[in-house]
Amino acid sequence: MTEPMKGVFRGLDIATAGLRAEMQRSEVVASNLGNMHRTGNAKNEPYRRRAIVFEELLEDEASKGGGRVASGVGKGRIVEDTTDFPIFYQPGHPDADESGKVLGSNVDLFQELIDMQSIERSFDANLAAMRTYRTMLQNTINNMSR
Amino acid sequence: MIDFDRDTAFTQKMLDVLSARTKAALHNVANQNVEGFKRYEVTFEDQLRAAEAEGADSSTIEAETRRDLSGPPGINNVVLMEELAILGKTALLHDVMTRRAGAYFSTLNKAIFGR
Repeated sequence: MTEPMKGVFRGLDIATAGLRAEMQRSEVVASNLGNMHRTGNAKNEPYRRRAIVFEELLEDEASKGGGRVASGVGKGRIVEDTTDFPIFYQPGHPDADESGKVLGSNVDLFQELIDMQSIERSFDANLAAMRTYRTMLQNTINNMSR
Repeated sequence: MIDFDRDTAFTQKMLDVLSARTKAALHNVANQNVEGFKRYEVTFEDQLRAAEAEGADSSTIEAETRRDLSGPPGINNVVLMEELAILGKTALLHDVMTRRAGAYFSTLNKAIFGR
């Protein structure tokens, strides 16, 4: 028998890591949407769109001779979108330069809305997986205690 | 002579396999949006079937956790619906195996207490 109870709740931890990752992605989207109207010019940069990238998380397990065990998804890393800022001609704007050009943020509203939808689906999938795992544990208790 | 280890050996091994498979599926779902991630799979039934066909000793078969490297390199190959289907199938099979283990012990209980 391998260590009893060890890893029984790891499944829930993995699903939690997934939920947390999707939550962080949605926070980045919220930040992009909230700042998308921050304009700028050559001297003062407008809001630059941010994205978050994740890496899978593998934890070392001492009991398996240094093997690595799947543990969900790791901490996210914020990266900046390096695409060019759109230029608008709008003399009189506080951020306009001498020739009347204003730099807009490189956030694309529709892209962010689509990202939001995809995050919601992913969140739901993690939640469904978590529920299945919980039911599995519950059934184990019910079936083995009769 | 009642030998718990012998009688529950297969059930125990199968439950270990199912538990590992569930965690692999959960891990795949959690990493569905990670760039370049390749999914994990846990194989056991295929090895078991091969060993049975050859007439080899099937009690020494061990489950194997490996990375599924299908799809273009550097591209995430998690298909959400497949992972959820694996999770559902595994949960059902897990239910079967735990019932089997429960029935074994309840039979023993009946033999001991006569009810």
